[in-house]
Amino acid sequence: MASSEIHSQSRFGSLFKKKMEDNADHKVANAFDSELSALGTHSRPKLKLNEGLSLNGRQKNGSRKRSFQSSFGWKDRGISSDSFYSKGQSASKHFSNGVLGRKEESRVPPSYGLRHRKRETVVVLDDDDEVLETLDCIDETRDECMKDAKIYYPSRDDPECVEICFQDIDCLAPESFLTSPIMNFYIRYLELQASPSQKATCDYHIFNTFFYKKLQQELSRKESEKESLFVKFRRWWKGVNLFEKAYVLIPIHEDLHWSLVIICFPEKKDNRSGPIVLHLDSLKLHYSRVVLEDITR
Amino acid sequence: MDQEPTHKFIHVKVVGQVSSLGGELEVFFRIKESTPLWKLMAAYCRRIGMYEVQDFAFIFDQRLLRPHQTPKQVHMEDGDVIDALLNQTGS
Repeated sequence: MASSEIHSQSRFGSLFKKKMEDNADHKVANAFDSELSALGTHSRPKLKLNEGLSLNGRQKNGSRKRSFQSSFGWKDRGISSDSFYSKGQSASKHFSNGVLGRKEESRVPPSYGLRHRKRETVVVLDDDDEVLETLDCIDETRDECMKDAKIYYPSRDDPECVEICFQDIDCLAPESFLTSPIMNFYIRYLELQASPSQKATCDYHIFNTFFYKKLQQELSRKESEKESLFVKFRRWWKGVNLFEKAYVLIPIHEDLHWSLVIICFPEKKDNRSGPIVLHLDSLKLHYSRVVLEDITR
Repeated sequence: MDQEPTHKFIHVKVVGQVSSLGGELEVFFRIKESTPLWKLMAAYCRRIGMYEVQDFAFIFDQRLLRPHQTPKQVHMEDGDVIDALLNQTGS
């Protein structure tokens, strides 16, 4: 009797053990399944994100607004571009948590490790949508507080910093016109990317968008004034030896259109060919010849 | 120097390009070195009409002037010229 009891106990034990293992297997399979489904849902939420910005915007407004407001509580602080970037990311994080978090709960049994993992992947996937999201949240909050917010790049204290305000970001939306603050911001950004410290030694120089306008103004003056004015005009490339640069880039703006002139100075050895002037115009709208005449003086 | 340096006045000229009216518009200002430049910008826009401060890029020494800066901060001196160029939009 005792032995049979022991036997049954051990049998029960082994059964129990087996069941546990089964369960565990099942769980693992479950987890795997849910992971798969989670991966499967990724593409959908991403679509939803895009749509949600325009179509579903109203339904989700409440929760979204909340998360954005919490992440955009930085309006009063000095907004440097760095903080803007990181906030943008955190905003996207908030956003994905808000929308996708609910999705997860409905489809997948909550298991923390899985969820945590999923969140990470979601954020990575969301990187593309970041701009859209920031745009969207600006629309929502601008009326109250963002109107006067300004971003200084590279920093507020830099004497050559570029200032853009939140309205300027609107111009990055599809089918809208680019504004000069954005252009100048990007020029500055390119310059700093290429040469963080030694501006003088880099082999190209980009003028800002107002240079060409000024050049035209200068050229329209009388001959007698030109000499003295040219001295003043040279301030525009103060501290930069233009003729030692390999390339000089001049953005051109005319008639609601942007184009670019690149002046290439060949190496001093083969001086036979003078500087080459290239004019890049996406719409072929500007009269290249006029531009060339202006630039070659 | 018996005069307080912060109360020194300088004379600057703002040169604009308002092509639709023909020619350039020059406006002369007398401004304290410690006065933030937005006062000058606002005054210029009032004089020109038609435009608001955001429409202009005020450039001095190849740098964009920011409204809260003072002439002293950007080392503006008597007789200096500020360019007021319209912000550009385009595709």
